[in-house]
Amino acid sequence: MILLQIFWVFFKISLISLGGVFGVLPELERMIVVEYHWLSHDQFIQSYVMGQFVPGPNMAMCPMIGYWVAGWPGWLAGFFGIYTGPVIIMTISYTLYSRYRKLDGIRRTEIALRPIVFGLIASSAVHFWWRQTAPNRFLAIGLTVGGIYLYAKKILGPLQTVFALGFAWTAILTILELVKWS
Amino acid sequence: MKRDTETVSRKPTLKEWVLLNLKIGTLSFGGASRIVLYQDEIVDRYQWLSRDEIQEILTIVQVLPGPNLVNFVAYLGSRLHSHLAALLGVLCLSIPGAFLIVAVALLPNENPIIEKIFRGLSIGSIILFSVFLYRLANGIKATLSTQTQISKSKTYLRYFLAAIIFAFSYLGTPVIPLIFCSSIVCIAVEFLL
Repeated sequence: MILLQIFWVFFKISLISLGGVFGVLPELERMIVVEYHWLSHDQFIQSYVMGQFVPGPNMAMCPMIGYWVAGWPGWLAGFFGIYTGPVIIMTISYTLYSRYRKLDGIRRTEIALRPIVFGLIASSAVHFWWRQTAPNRFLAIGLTVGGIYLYAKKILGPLQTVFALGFAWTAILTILELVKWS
Repeated sequence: MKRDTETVSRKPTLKEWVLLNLKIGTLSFGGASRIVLYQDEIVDRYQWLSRDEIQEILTIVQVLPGPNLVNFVAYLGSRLHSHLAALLGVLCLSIPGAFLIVAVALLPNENPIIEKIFRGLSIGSIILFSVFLYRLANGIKATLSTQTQISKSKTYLRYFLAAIIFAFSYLGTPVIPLIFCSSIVCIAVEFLL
């Protein structure tokens, strides 16, 4: 029974999420913490943070929550709950869209909607960057600019850029801390 | 810039598609960067699609229900290969992280080195994001080959709308009403002006 509940919670969430998990976080918390009492608020936040850390979609917090509630069967329920809906909707959407894609009106509509894509993604990117760089903004700006140069000029590939930044940030901050203590 | 608007549409093998998703599914640490990885691999490395086709898919999946990345991969799978590829793509993308997150929960909390590394990775992913946003911005002024060049004012209007939507979204407007209202405005601008 609880497995069905887990599946259903995440299935509903998948249908109302537009973007990443961030937009539906309040509603998800309401269901998990308030309605079903499966997790405490702190546990919920912890699962969100870990979902941001691991590779792949940040929906990974959903099978995580399922695991905490009901072990590996719960993991499965959470996993399929969150991913089944989108796969079905997208395959159907593709079939429909590809049929009508040739029409000028449809193509023009898609182009007309592009400002929305830009606005939403830009806003979440800025939010994200602002949160992640909190105490060391100047260093962050410097590394970001340098990194953009390296990536845009194709000196580094995408994954290399990300890992190089991880290394550089960690190294510089660690050195700064050691210097302060000496 | 030829790659921007011409359609390419080469078909991957199922194995190539699965491997790509496994790779991104296991290596995309750091938040924010995943769709960018797909764009780089698909457009620049494998040349299965053009930039414009990627943008088209991104627009479609953004306004439909479901998380963007998952939608994007599922739609891509159907588009590039088959509905089976859609399912396999999502599985290969999502399973590694879903396992890893259970493992990570067992690690000791609040390790300062790990926190720094993660911060750095996040900033790295923002770099990818910035270039991605630049390309998105370029795509805003696209037109169909059957249209004559659109007027400069219409292009500026589109960019203006993008800025407004950015502002509303940044200030915390709920997503679903925002998408609904801005869709109406954008479509009206396109067809009535």
